[in-house]
Parts: sequence; C-alpha cells; structure tokens
Amino acid sequence: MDRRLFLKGVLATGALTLGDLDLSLARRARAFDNPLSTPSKSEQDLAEALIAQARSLGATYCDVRLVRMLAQSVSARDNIVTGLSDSESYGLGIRVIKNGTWGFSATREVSLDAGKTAAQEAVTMAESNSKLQRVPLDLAPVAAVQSEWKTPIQKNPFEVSFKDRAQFLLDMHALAASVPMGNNRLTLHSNLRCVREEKYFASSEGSKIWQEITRMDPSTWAIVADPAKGEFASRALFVLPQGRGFEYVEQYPYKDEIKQAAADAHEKISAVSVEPGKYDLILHPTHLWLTIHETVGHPTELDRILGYEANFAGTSFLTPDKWKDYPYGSDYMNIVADRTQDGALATVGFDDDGVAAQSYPLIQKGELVALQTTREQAKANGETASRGESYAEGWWNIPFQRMPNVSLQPNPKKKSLDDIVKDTGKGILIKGNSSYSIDQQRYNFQFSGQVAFAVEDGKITHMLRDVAYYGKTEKFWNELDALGDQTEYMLGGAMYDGKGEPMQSNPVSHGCPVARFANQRVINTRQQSANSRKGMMS
Amino acid sequence: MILDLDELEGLSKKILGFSKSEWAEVSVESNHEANLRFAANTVSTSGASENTSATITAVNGKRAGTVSTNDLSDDGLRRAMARAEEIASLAPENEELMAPLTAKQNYLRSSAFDARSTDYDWTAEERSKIAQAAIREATAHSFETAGFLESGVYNNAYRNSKGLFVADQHTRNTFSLTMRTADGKSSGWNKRASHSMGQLDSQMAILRASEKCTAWQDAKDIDPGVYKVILEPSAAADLLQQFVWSLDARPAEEGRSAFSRPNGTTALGQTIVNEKVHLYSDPSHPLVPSGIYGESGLAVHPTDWIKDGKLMNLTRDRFWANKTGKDPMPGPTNLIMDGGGMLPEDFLTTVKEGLLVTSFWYIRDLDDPTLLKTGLTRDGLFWVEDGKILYGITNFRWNESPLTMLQNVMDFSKPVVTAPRDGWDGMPMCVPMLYVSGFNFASQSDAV
Repeated sequence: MDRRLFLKGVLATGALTLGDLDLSLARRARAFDNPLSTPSKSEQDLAEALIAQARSLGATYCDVRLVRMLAQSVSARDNIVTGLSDSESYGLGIRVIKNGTWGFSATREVSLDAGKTAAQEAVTMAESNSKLQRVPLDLAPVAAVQSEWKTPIQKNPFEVSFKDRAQFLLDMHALAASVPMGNNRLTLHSNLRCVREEKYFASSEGSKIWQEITRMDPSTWAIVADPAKGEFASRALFVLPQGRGFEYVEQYPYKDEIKQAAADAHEKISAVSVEPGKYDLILHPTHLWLTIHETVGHPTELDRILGYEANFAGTSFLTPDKWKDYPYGSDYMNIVADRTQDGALATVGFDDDGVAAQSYPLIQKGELVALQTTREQAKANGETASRGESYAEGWWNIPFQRMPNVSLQPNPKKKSLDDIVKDTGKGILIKGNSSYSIDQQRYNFQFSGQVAFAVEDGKITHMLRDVAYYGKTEKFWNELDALGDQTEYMLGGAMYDGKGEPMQSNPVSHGCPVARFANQRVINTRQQSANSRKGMMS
Repeated sequence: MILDLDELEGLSKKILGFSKSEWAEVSVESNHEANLRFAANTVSTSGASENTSATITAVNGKRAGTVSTNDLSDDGLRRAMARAEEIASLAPENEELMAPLTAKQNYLRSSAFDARSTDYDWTAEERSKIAQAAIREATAHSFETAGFLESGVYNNAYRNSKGLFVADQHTRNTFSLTMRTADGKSSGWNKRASHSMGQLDSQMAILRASEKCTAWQDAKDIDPGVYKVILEPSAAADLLQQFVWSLDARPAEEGRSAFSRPNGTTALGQTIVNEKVHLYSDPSHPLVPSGIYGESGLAVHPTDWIKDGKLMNLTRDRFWANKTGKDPMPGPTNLIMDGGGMLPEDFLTTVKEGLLVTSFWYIRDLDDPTLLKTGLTRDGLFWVEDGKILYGITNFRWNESPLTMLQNVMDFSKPVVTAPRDGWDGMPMCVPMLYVSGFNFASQSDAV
C-alpha cells in the first residue's frame, strides 16, 4: 500500500474536509510501504489463511482480529496495598458475511486448526441466521489500508514498577490521612489500573492494521463516617481515565486533590441540606462530561435510532426521518465527535471495520448535523461512507457501533468560571459525578455530583448536600446560557460504557468547559428517601 | 474446545506444580457462550466464543502477587507463576492477607449443570426457532421485535497448595425480547432464564411481551407521587439484587453502610422490613441451582438474609471474620424470596388497586445511607383496579430504597424463576410478584 492510496482511502470516507485532513493525518496513522513490523509474520499468515478459509466456505466478507488484552492493577485501602495483579488474554475473533448475514466466532486458541474451526462456525452461523434476515447487509465501501497506530504516550505504565505504583498510592493515602477529622473516621480506596490492546486487523478487502492502544484508569474514594450519628459521606477524586501513559498520573494534582477530597467528605456530613426548587446550575467539566455522554452521545448513535438496541440499551428520541437539523440546544452548543483527540479514551487510528479515525461535527449552533455510524449503517443513513465508529471490547466480541469521543466545544469568547459565578444570582455549582440515570430514549435524566456549592448573588457561599437535578434532554440543552472558554476545558471519560447483548464495554471520553444551565429543577435526595417511608424500624 | 472438570483438576494441579512460593492458589475457568441477537424483525449481530483462563496468586509471608493468563502451554503457565512470584516480591506486606483455607469444606451438590444445554448444535437450533417465533408473532401484530438469546457452559475450579480443591459447573440460558408498535408509541418486554434451555418457556415470553405491547397503547399521563405498586417478579428481582449487594459486614461495622447504627453497632438481628419477608440463598435450590463455593474455595451454604423481617446475616470476608471473631460468610450465589400460594397472573386478579410495573431500568445509587436508588419503569406500566389492568400509564422515574420497598410489602404471589433486567444475569433468582403499599415516583418519562 503506498501513501497515495492510503490518502485516497481516507478521502473515500467523504467525512473529512481537506483542512481537517492535514490535521488528522498529523495526529494519526501513517502509511507504510514495508510490511508491518508487528504482529509476527506467522500471525499475519494465520489471518490470511483464515480469511482464505472463510472465503472458500462461501463468505463474501471476512475479517480477523488477533487481540492481546493486557491489564495491570494496583489497589489500596487506607495504609494497605490490597492487590497487585497482571493479566493477559490473547485470542482471535473471525467475522464473516455469508448470504448477507453476520457470523462470528472467537477462540483463545490462536492456531490454524482452531481458527479453521472458528471460521467454519462463523460461516455456519451466518448461513443459519440468514433465514431470519430481512435485508442483506450492504457495507459502505472503505479502501484497503496497511497501517500502524499507537497511542502517543510519554511513560509506558506497564514499565513503572509495581513497587513504585504501590508506594505512590500509600503516599497519597498518607497525605489524606493527615487531614483533621475530629472524631470521624476516614476510609480511602484507590486503584491504579492500566490497560493495553494490541490488535491486528486483517480483512478480505486487503486491509492490514496493527494498533497498540494504551489507557490509564486511576481512581480514589474518600469516605468519612461519623460513628456517633451513624452518618457517612463520600467524595471521589475528579481524576478520570484517559488515553495516556503513566505521565497522566504523575501530572495530575493528586496531592492537593486527595487532601481536598478527604476534607470535602468530612464537611459534607454536616453541610446544609439543599432546599428543593429551581436553580441556575453551573456544571463543572468534572461533572458535565457524563451529562454530555448520556444526553448527546447515546441519542446520536444510529443503531439505537434504527431500533437495534430496543431490547437492551434502548432507542432514541431521535427518529430515522426526523433527526437532520433537529433543534437540540442553544447556540452555545457545538458538539464534535472525534476519534483523533489526544488523550481521549476512544481515540484510535482505525475502527474495527478498518475505517480511519475521524473528527466531525455532531451539533452546530444547537442543530444536529450528523449521526454516529459504522460501515453496516452508513447507507441506512443516506451516506456513502462510515463515520468509523465500530469497536469490540475484546477478541471474544463481535464489533458493533460504539460511541466516539463526543465533546462540547469551548466558548470562543473569553469566559471563566469566575465570570459565570459572578453573573449568577441563585445557583448551584456541581463538581464530579455521583448518581446518573436516564431513560431508554434519553428524555428524562437525573444526575448528582460529588460536591455541590450554593451560589448566591454572584458568590460561592457554602457547601450543599443531598443535591440532584433532573430534566428533559432537549429542554436542558436549550437552557444552556453561559459557556466557559478554552481555559476551562477538561477531558472526562469512562472506561466501561455498556451497550449491546452480550454487553460490551467501550472506553470513551468527553471534553467540555464549565457551563451554566438556567432554571433547572433540583431535588433533595434525603427528602426523596422519606417520601414513601413509614419510618425505619430500628 | 473447553475443558471439563477432570481436565480443570489436572490443569490446576499442574499450575501449582510450578510454584516455588510459600503457598499459592489458582482459579481456572473454561467457558463457551453462543448467542443470537435480533432487532427490527431481522437477525443482527450474533456470535460464539470460548475461553479458558487461569488466575494464579503466589504468596510469600504477607506479600502476594496475582497473574491471569489464557496461555495454557507449559511455558505460558510457568511464566505466569514466575510472574506472580515476582510481583509478590515487589508487594508491600498486606496485614490483611489470610492464610490459605485448609479446613475441609462441606460442599453442597448443585444441579446447575444441564447436560443437554451443552449440545451446541441443539441450542443453536433452538435459538433460531425461538427468534423465528418472536419475529412471526411481531409480524402478525405489525410490531417490531428485538431480542437476545444466549446459552453458556461454565466450568470452574479452585485449588490451593495446602490441599483444598473444588470444581463446579453450570449452564445458563437466557431469552429476552421487546415488542414495539411500528409508530414507537407502545412497547412490551419479557425475559426468561434457566440453567436448562428446555425450561426457558420461550413461547410464554413471546406471548407476554406481545400482550404488554398491545395493552400499553394509548398510555395516560398521571402525576408523579407515591403510589401502590405491583412489581412483576423481574422488577422485584432488580430491587432485591440491589439490596443484597449492600449486605457487607465490614462497612456496616465501620459506619459506612445503610445497615450501620450509631456507635459502631449494626442492624443485625433488628426488624428492618416487613415481618412477612423471608429472603435467602441456597445453591442446592431445585429451581435456581447455583455456585457452591466463593472466596478462597469457601463453601456456600443455605443462608437467611432476612427472616420474619429481621436482618439475619451480613456477608463477611475471611479477614474481617477473623478480626471480628465471627465465621466468614460468602456472598449469595442465588436469591430466593418466599411468597404466597398463587401464581403471579392469578395473584394480580386479587389486587385492589395500584400500578403494575413490568421492569426497571438504569438503577443507580442516589443516597447511600438510606440505600436510596433511582431508576425508571420500562416497557409496560399499567393502572390495575379490582384485579384488572385498566389502561397503560406513561413511564416514571422513581427514587426509592429497596429497604423501604420491603418495609411496604403488603402481599405477594408464589415465587417464580425470573431474572432482573437491569441487574446481574449470573445470579439465578426465584421471587414473587410483590404488592407494595407505597413507591415514590419522582418525575415523568416520555420514553417508550
């Protein structure tokens, strides 16, 4: 594969402008004239042999993924390291189309014999299931590529010694333990997890793609109990997983935040319980990313809109014929779907259909302009090329449409958190994520944060407890009336976004600045718990 | 090919044979799963996978390291053991690390393995037939259906280098489906789960989902508030799972749980819910057989969690049991709630009034000290009066605690085998339809 053909492959997606192309190429995959350096020649030969086998059995399309999933974890509670673990899972997944129907089989035995058995099983499954197929699959075209891609990291987390990682957590916990607690008791839980996917994708259309995707997943919880009252409160650190190396952990302001988390949990127990009612909500990016995920990321997945998740994850308030230019939100709302964003969890070189990673607008000035698609879905959306959103959790899963990084763009005009607070009369500032729940068509949501603060006459006055807000997606985004600038932008994300049957996890990030939503409905969670209670019998 | 129990016994012995540490333990699992998925009245993504993996922990003194691998070659296993030992050498001492279990365990016999359900060709044929039947039913009513069928075979074993060995196997089959009207304004759902493919009763599931979709059309709006509810067994199962996951002794005794009480005491032995409630687990239960061992090979025995409304037990890991001078208590592997004598459909005809809930969705914690959860109703919410379903009701978000729900239980049907929608499929459950005197619906949801 030469560079010109590679470029043609990217352009063939039709989703990139020439301006975008230069930027994305600079960030993304490069084409190789030489054979791939990894995986081994024998693994590449095995993939080719299995593709040939599937074709000889009548498959009209076949792809083989050889995937090695690596994970290491260090966990600690208080001053004890409770676990050090290292795991590896290697296997192959073979996906075919026969009679216009998918078949898929996966095995841990990466050998010609086991692979041929899997190929046979996948083809037999496709043949059998084709009796139930209404319309044969019609994949959007993609040019064959031969390419490699790696998450750009500065410090390989797998090369940081377990001893150092364990000591890091013990040191952080010791800092938190120094925070005065009075008679209250502090408990700390932490985990430092890193994962790497080493993935070789080969297709019957000639693509050969090697990717090495690294992600870092740190987490810490501080829980404070008041033994006399029998009350307790918790505060998670705002640190969230990212597509980075160990440098992410080292650069994160852990020392300051873990002490703040312990102090916040302590203060939360006796904080003022919120008065239910309407407030202007100032949502910090450590909180807002998940609201974006639930109210924008999921509803704009085409498979949901087409009814393919009706039995599990749900459908969408958007419909196949009424999504274009849907008035999603206020003019401040500019949302980008982007698998090329540095440090983001869904960032890859290519998706699991072999389609190059892309960046495209989903919502512009409040109007919906695109949906997330795979090769299987693009034509159903009247498009000629996939948006590149196919992903499988591991070698054992069939790929399907998964969410890219979906992010709210910052205000091009200067606007800080302080500016927004000063401009707010009766509001609540919410940081971090706690409870989150949304209906299966993404209308009704209810969220809460790790900490909340009263904003009164332009000032943050005191901490609040028992705060949650609820609303309806379209109304909520139309009430977005103030937006922070680039200096307020942060990247949040989750490692385990569940969808599909059997359920698969998808790592995904969401960037955003601080934003204000006018006149939102706030409930008091503790009062909610009393609504139908006759009184605890203790 | 997956490994049978004899092969897992040999594999576990071989792995520990590579150990040079003071002691070691290994868990080995060999699984095969196959599924068929359909949506929009057509087949969608389907697949099959098999895997065998080993999780090895090597221990020297109070230092432990754990490695998981699915490379079963001698070299691969030797490397994995050496890596576990290397990690253990880097680990700080863990004062809570327990010595291996050496006491003879009295393992129950479980009938969770159904040999016929391991016939891959037969289960594939059954999945296809069931999907065809669902699509046929949908087409006959101009509905659109989506569903999922999965069959799994799970063989697993545990061994430590001090002589304890246990092996167990089970099969698990699930079928769930949704029927939707073409205009997307009504929806119905049902789910079945069994260790035996032959006991799924798929035709009844198809019929129930179709009936719900028909009955829920033209749903009416009513104001959010506290209503009497009738929870179908699947909806009850979801809240009961949420309840049992919180039954951990350590946080309760350290003041970090809904079961904590002032000054370091707990609710153990106290009446915390309605006195009619008896909630327990039993791996040898004939209808919902389940796993026979837990942490470190500890035997799982029949356990009352709630009896006569009293909190009878909390789960207790081996360290915390040792520290508190109590016996360790592994978590439940299944869950059963006693009920009355009438089947759910007959019980419903005796209900005076209330909202019938088909299933719950997106359940999350909302206030831990009160075990408050939030979630939504989904795929069929109905107003029932004098034992009859009168009309559909628009969906609600609810904010409610399973503790409060169990306090408010007034009556129940005979328990039946069911499966949660939002919760974990791996826990077999047999629970009744519940009639509850008050349930807090907080806001309306337009979702169908």
